[in-house]
Amino acid sequence: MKKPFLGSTALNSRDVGESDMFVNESLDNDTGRYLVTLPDGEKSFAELNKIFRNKLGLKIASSADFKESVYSEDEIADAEVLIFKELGIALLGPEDDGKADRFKSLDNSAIIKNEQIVFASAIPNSPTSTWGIRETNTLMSNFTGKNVKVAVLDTGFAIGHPDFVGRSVLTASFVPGELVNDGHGHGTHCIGTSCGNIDATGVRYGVARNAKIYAGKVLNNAGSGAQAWILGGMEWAGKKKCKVVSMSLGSAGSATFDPAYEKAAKYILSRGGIVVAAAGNASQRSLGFIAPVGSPANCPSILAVAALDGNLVGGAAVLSVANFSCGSRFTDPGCEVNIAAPGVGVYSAWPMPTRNRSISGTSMACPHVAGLLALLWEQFPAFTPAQIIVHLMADAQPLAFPNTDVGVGLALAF
Amino acid sequence: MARKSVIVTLAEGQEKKLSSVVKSLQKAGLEVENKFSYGVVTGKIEEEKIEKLSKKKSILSISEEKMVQLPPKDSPLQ
Repeated sequence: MKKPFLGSTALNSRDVGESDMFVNESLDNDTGRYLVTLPDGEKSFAELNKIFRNKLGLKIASSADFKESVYSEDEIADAEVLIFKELGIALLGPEDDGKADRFKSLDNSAIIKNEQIVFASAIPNSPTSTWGIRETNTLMSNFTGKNVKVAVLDTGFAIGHPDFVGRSVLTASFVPGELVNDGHGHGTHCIGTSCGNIDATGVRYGVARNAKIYAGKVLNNAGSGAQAWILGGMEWAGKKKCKVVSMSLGSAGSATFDPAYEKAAKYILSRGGIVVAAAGNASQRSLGFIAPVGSPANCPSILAVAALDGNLVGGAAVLSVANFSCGSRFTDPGCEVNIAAPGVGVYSAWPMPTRNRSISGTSMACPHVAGLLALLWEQFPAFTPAQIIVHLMADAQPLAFPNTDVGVGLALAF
Repeated sequence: MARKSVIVTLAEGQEKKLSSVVKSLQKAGLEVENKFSYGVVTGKIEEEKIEKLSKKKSILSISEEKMVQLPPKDSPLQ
């Protein structure tokens, strides 16, 4: 039986330990496939295809052959070379049967490397910052979200976490019988990304490191939450006039948005705040399946954030849509993905004694955007929410993926 | 009789007279648990009363309360 070309290892999740914080390419994670990168300045695969086809007798499939950017195994059934035209990359596979060596003997212009299993290793963090902080240009910003109120509605916050010493944290719990202290970890991680600063060794993982944190507990310590608790948290964030409300939560999306969430989001807008939500993790893009944006992210008055993955190609970051990230699948206005941010192998805060941990999800992408919004609010305190949103969208870096998957592209600090 | 947790979203502008709307919802059989100032009321109601309640002019929609569930805390995908 033929080994699947895409399979599950390259694009699906792999367990990530804390020691994966600085994952590098020396790990023995080879997939048996090879990545061929076009030589500098070369835009076309025409020359390389001649070698693949005529000299090596390989069967070629190209991203140009498919309307969707997602391949299925059926479509590439017999292929031995898979060309990602927009990325300038060809994948040789599915097995290491010597064709890579034969290719190397025929061509010395292209860069050929063993493909690595990518997950936490997407793009390595550096000793000074996470890849998300770096790719969003957060380090280059003159702003820190100083005194901007950012609400994170989630599983609460790890009170007393050493990375947050001296920070302003206001809390409220909407979960009956549970205090705001985070017994799950998800909420602390999201607060870390949006409003945290550095870990014990100085790695910067938080965007708006001087924001005023409003931690609203709307999900219990088992990670579940009733809609009434979430709606209560949204009312609280609006009443407190939070300028950003980050919601890394949701349930499966449908063709219509939930009017109750929409009403709550409109209320927050009327109080001068912007709601961002995670688009959802229900896709399996490696299998050709893209799930619709979840609820409440699919509300017209809420910005839906997709998750980006990435890889290092020839030393430069090449971003891609995370395997699990939901996409726009309905024509309802507002149901679409609005913007994207790093969401794979995201290193942030976690309740003690773990302290810090890398995890993946659109839940991790969403707070990057929340933090970036706080930077904008600090810079333009007199703006309306609509003006800030226009700025966020205009500052984003377009990506070579459909806007149904990444919206306007990668959110960036201005 | 089966009772359901529901989310009642009020029609545009009804939030301005929230307390009187809430009273009429209670009369229609809704056991009110939360009333949010922006025009959403949550509570429990007997299933067969939902349809009649949904016909009220003051209501935009009534839906069964949804739950959100995160993955277990040790999951690498969140």
